[in-house]
Amino acid sequence: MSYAYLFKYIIIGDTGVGKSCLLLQFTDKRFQQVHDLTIGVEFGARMITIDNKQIKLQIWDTAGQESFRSITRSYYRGAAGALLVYDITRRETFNHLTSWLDDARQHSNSNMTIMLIGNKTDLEHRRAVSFEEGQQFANEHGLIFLETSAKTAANVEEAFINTARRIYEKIQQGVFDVSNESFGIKVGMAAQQTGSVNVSIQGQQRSSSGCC
Amino acid sequence: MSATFLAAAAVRAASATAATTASAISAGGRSGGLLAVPGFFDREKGAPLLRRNAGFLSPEGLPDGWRARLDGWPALAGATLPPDQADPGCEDEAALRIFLRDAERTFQDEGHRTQMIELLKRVWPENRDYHQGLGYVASLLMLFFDTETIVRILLRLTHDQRYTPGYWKAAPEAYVRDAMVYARLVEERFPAVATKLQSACIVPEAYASKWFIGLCVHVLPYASLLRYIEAFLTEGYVFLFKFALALVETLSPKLLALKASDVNIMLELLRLDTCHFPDNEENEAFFLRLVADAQAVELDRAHVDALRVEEGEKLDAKMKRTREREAQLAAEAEDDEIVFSDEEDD
Repeated sequence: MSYAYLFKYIIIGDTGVGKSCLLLQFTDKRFQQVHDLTIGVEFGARMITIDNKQIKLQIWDTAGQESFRSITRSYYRGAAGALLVYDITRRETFNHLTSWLDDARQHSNSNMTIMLIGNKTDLEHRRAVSFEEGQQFANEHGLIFLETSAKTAANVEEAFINTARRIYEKIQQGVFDVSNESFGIKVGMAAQQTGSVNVSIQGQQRSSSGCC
Repeated sequence: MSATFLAAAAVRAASATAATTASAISAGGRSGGLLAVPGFFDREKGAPLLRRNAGFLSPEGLPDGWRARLDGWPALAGATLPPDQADPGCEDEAALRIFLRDAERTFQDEGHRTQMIELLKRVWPENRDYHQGLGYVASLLMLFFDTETIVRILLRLTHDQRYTPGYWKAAPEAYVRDAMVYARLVEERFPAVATKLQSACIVPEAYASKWFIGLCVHVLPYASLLRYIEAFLTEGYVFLFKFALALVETLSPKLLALKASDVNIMLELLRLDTCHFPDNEENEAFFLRLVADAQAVELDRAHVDALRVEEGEKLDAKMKRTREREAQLAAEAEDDEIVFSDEEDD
């Protein structure tokens, strides 16, 4: 299927916060009660519609323990959006947000849109981090914030789509040079045909040879 | 480490036989392991570890001949001596947290989870570090062996140059080097596939961990998984590369037919995901053939070792640049901090 844009996302956060489950809920609309742990990276893709335009989301799901920066960092660099996830029932995953954020900020392009996600709202009775604390952290660091449940699907669509909407707005505002794929955005044939974005075909070809 | 380790092992060799017998008896014999525990399959129904069992293990026991084959594994690994561990245990809080998370995502039964955590604590001092792929391997061995035997096997894997020392770390440089070596071998033998994977921006260290560190647990169904691990124990690390090459060759028509943006499908294929290779009879034959093909791949150890040196140097240079960059960023961050003029100097 042809798309107007392709956005690359990366999902980061401590191990066991539900990164893979969020991805599975978004791409397959299902929840696996028991999910094996991720080593290396997993990957998901889904088409969404914003402003009547088809946008393909390419989502890189990284292992939470994968502290080997040469792996995760090469993904930061090519990402337009990041979902930074913590588990509202485990405070240490919230406490580690700063180091994840520092790393993401240092190694990504400065316009990467970051969404902070407090996951596992289905476990309200075990909550250890309040909504207000999450919101405050997001405000302090200029992030968008949502609480989600990969299990019940609450806010999962919103998490991925709101991030895409923000990236789309930035494109409309001309924040990105969309011919440069290092921003994690690729212009598809659909956009070129409608002429909504002024990108030369040559520019496309040149940039597509250079990888993240 | 190896010299001290071997010397210590030699000293202990005299008492080894007695110790072996004692630990075997205490753990219920060589044929220990969770499979022998009554009610195991009820307690572990739906456990992630058994996701690709594909009917291989059952309450009736192992398929014909497999108990004897498994009993040969410790000898294949050279794991016949009791482990030489000065200070087994782990008090690292971050590690203990991750052990718990991993145990929860491996077994259903609380007791089995506790056993897995205890096992990981035993192995921890060897690297004072952990990689979640070790959790895969340790839990698989738990099905077939008693704890002492597993510790012995795992320690051989992490000490013996024939296997994969340096893999079970959160930042496993030895593994990343090997992933780079694998990419070189693919370039040499399957250049079109190498180009295709590069066009999709997939770095090899991002996915080869499933075969190399995780030893194909969750990738291969059990009948071929056990053959894969047996071949690894027999041939050592060279087999990992042989398997990777056999896999790439097998998948190459499918990979080459994909577009560069089909990254998800490439990764699904490379991890032999059930969405492309469901556990059925036809695929069982496919997987068995794949492992047999891997064993038949011709690959010169000396060539792999030469590539390991080359790629190791590249990685060292890259890591040096990374560390310099980090030091620079840290220094810049420090400059930004307010320094009080009334602070005392020494």
